[in-house]
Amino acid sequence: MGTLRHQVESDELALIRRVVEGDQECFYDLVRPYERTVYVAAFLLLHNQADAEEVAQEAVLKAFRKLNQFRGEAKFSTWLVQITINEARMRLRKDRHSLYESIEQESASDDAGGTYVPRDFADWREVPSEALQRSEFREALTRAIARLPEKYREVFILRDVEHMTVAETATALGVEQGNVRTRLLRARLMLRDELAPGYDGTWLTEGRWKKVRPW
Amino acid sequence: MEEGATVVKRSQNGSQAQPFTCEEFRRQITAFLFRDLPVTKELMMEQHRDSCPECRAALERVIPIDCLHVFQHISAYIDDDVPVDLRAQMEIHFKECKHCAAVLDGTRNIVQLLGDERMFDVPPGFSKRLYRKIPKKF
Repeated sequence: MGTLRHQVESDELALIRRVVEGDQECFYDLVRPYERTVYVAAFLLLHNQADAEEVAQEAVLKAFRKLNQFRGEAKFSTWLVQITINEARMRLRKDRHSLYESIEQESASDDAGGTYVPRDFADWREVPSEALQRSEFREALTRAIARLPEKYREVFILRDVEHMTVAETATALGVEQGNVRTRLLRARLMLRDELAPGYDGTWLTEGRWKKVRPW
Repeated sequence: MEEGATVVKRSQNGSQAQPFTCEEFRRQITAFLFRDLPVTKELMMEQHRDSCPECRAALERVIPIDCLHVFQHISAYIDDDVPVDLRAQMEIHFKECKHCAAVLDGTRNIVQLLGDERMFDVPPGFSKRLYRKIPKKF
């Protein structure tokens, strides 16, 4: 496993060298394994397909232009995600939503602040795996992520959706590993509060689902 | 604490079974306290407890923790990133507190659902459009 990762990283360094020396085709080979990563990160941060594509294109262009500055201190994928996050942040700042975002951010407690206490204790044992196929269910989950304050959303996306390690997430976001852990805890508990038990068991049945919660 | 202590003071039966190693013992502490082990394993645990003062002390350290403490570590628990003693305390708590067990199940569901590769698709043609801002050499 470790050897395989080593191999991938050294192959990537070789590709990077060739791109920097002028072989543009190698750039596509370098980025291709991470296309989904870039899109999903941008989409979940912006919650909009057109914006996500635009940001992904900008991020890839920036990575291409700055590739000669890549020093290999982090993995290439972490570096690429870092660029994508920065592009998405800039887009969010420009966006009108950023006004609400900043209010939300300030009202959210600090990383080191008190313990997050779940709002309720509804039981939710079943994982409705068939529900994954249903677009309205996915839409509900995506909306719940979009409602998270930005700093929690970023950590959640990188750790739990993109499966990056704590160290990689910390590097990509420029924060301490302790902050990653605290923010992830809060993000997960907030999402659970938002979604469990979600839609009153109708996930598993046909027909229209209805929201059972007052918020 | 008292409840735990009574469970620990079960009578010792003579046994031919091989005792556990310390690592095995620590891993099974919760099951032992809740009498969830098969009889032979239980006897092996008892033998180890009586022959290893360190593990006996570890067993006695498994004291109840409160819900707030559990919430603080629930995410690390899911990632298997908590010290072994705390893990045992949390396991005991989850067995006794249905609220925290529900929070644990729900939080695990979130991690599992949103970490599923099938959850988010890349739009058709994305791969082609992705590179269109990069100037072509030719």
